[in-house]
Amino acid sequence: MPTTVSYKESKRAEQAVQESEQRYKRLLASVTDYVYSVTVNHGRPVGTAHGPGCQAVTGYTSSDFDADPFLWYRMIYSEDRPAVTAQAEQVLKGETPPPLEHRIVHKDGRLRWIRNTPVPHKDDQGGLNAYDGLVSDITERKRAEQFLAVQYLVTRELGEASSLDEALRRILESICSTFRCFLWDVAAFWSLDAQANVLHCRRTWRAPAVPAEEFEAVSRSFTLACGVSLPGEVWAAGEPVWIPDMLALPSKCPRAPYARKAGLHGACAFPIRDGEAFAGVIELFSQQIQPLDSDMMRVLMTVGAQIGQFLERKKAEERHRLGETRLQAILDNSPAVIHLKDTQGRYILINRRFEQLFQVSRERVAGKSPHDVFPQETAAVLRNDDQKVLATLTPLEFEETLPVDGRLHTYISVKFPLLDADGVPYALCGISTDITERKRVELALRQSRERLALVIQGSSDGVWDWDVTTNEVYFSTRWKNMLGYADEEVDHHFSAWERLLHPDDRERALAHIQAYLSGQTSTYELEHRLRHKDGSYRWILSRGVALRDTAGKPVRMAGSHVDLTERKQAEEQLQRAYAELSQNEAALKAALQKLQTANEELQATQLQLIQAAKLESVGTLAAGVAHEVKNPLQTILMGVDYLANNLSGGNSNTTQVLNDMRDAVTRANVIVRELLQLSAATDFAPREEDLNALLESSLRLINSEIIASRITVARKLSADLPSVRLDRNKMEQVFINLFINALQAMSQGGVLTITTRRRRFGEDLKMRGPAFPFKPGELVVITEVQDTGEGIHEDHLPRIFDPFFTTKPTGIGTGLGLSVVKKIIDLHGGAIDIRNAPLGGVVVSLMLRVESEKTP
Amino acid sequence: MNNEKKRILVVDDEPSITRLLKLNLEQTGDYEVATENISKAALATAEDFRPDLILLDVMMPDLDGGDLAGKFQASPTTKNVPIVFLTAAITREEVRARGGLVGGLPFLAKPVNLHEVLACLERRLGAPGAPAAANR
Repeated sequence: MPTTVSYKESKRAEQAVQESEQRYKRLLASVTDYVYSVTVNHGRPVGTAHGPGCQAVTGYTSSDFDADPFLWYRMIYSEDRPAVTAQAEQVLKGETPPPLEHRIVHKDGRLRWIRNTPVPHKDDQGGLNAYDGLVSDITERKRAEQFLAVQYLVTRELGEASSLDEALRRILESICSTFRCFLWDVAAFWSLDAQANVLHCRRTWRAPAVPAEEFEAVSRSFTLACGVSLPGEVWAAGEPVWIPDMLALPSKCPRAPYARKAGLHGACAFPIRDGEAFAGVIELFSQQIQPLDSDMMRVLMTVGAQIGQFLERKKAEERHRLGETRLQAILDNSPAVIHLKDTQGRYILINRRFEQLFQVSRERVAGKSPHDVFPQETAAVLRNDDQKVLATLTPLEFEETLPVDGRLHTYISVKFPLLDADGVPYALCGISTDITERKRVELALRQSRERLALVIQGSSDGVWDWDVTTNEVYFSTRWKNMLGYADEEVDHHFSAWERLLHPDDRERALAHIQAYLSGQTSTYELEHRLRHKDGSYRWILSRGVALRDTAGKPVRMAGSHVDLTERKQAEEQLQRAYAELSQNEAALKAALQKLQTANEELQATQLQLIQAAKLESVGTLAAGVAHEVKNPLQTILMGVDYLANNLSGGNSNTTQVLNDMRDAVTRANVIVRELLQLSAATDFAPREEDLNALLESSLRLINSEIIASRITVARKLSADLPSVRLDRNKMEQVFINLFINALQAMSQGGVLTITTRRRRFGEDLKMRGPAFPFKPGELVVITEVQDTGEGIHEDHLPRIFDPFFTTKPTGIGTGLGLSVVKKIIDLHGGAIDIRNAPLGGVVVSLMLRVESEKTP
Repeated sequence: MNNEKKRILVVDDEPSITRLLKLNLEQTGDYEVATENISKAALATAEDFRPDLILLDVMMPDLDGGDLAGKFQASPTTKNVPIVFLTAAITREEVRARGGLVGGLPFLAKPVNLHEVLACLERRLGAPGAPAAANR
């Protein structure tokens, strides 16, 4: 079976050859060095032999080199040829140059880095006859170096750049120029426009010698949707893409013709991720065909990740910056005073309001404590409050007093700790609101409410307060009593009033209210009839004011009721009488005259009635107050007396305190007395009196005070003064009040001048005007009380008769004295005038009517 | 000396006033004081205590001082006991202007100090230690 054997043998041989070939190839693949020898004759190279291994490094065999004497030169990458030539010339000159690292183009088209180390050989005379070159493939080392260099450059650029745009300009260039050995000639960065959901080419770079201007310009003008062109593909795939030769592939890419024109073959693109999110693509193009290089791909992916991190960091910085700016903006526009302190009590930040109020800047206050900003006492209180918050770790509210423009303002401060993730406080925030004005308003409001309550309680007028929105009405007790009803007998509703309305007045009354509420009339004053519990109708004058909201819509209306029935009846009588009399023309004039007089008297009486009614209501109030106040005063006074007798040892402070308490009781009692006087004016008992004598007796009553005050009294009393009809006790009160005022105005001593004279009204220029209830020519007696004190501030004069208005220091005056005087003079149908004298001091003029001219 | 002390009954609805009057008056050593804050019970207290003088508040709940004075004057035991009104319902000036009498009865206007109370008691009862003017 030789054939079989032969077949088997030949098979085995073939197999052996194959094995040997594979082993050789493996061996070749592991060879990275080879040696070439150059024969030199008379300084010129005459032959070159490439040693085994050249195929492994260059792809060409020895025979390839033998067949083509210039192959070695063409193999050298064109840019590096001058350096290689220069090295060779050095050797030929007999020198030994250092090894040269340069690029060659491998037979497979890829670039390789080699190190070429020449070793010259010399003959006996020292002439060069040959040299060997050791060629080592250093491509892997070079690649590794360049990958490192790229990563280093990218890291440095990203670290130094303030924006991605700035960084990218240099990064694209770095990638391309460092990888020039691999010939990336054009680079572009595409960023995602998240709103439009497209990619924009934000930046390109091109090696100077590459004619890709048009490709660059076109790229910059394009926007790419997901999946379109190379960047779009990377976006869609979320992974890098490597295309060894674009021109070898059919393409629908709109940029393809321009790439072709620029001679771009190899391409690669990789994504840039901002955290998880896709942020953009970097693409690289080469004029060479670029077989897939996984190592480089990895490096580029790392670069992509680095850029992504940079984006993430920049965004975080931006967010932080925006957050701070936003927070500061909010704080600065708050009317509250806001600050943040660390746990040591040092300011971290303050808002603009804080800066303005306390005249400090946030830069200067940072790191300082309240002790550097506020007075020590204030700072100690603030620090104490802060510590309470840090101790309890809960938000607390404090009322704090802080000095603003030299005045103390009251603040409500909410303070709360800021806790870290572990619940440990790292700062304290305080938000303070100025409530000084609110406090003042609250106090004023409370006072005015109390005053209102007193007025309603004491008023002889009925009071009503109508909530227009709900139709609920508050009717005062007096309102109801006026119509004969007890408190619980009238519903607090608008309909209660409507039900009491006289049918004939109903339409007019409702229209009147409507006209006022709608703004057609500016005041509300209505005379109408309301049914009394006894069935009769009472004439009521209703006056009121509406409270409106900002839109002018009435929300509330309040006012008073005055009973006009008696006046109305008088008027009706008058009219009836007038009607009767009008029949007799002759009697008419005389009757008219009488009626007029009667009418005037009626009006005067009515005024007095109203006055008396008012005084009566104050009186009721005062009597109540008197009882309620005097009993506690009694207790205090008895207590003081008891203590005075039982605190032996004669401590002068104790004695002083007890005396002060006695004085206080006396003062309180004086107020009560004056209130009573104000009200007691109703017991009016006038008689014909000698005014001069009354003045003298009044002066005697305060003789001791006059002496104590070192006051001289000057009397200019008229000798022919007619007697005046007056209530002796009340006028005595008037004079004493006026004298005491004068004495108090002259605390440093002075002259009290008292003048009386008789006049016809109108003769005295100072006593003209509508305020005086006299007819021209009427006989009057004028009393003037003048002091030499400082006078009264002109602004105070209009209010001088207001109850509780006083210009005296606290504790000296009650503010009731002149109110009492005015009431009493009014009761006498007289007039009073207070003015500053031209040469200083105050002149009080009283004018009383003389009814029958006889001297006392 | 105890039996020489004058006996005063103070009727006032304010306990602080009666308490302090008692303390102050008894401290002089000249008076023995009983107090009553409930006006309706005052007649029984007076009949029991047999005062030499009654200091009587006017404005009191249930039974006012004026009516109570009538009851004292109607009771055989107390009809001759002098009464001095102590009241907040009248001013000091009014009291003075009327010579300390209103409706024929003596008055003290609140607030009144100890000195004035003692002066009034002396006027009505004679100097301390002297035999009581009133019927025992």
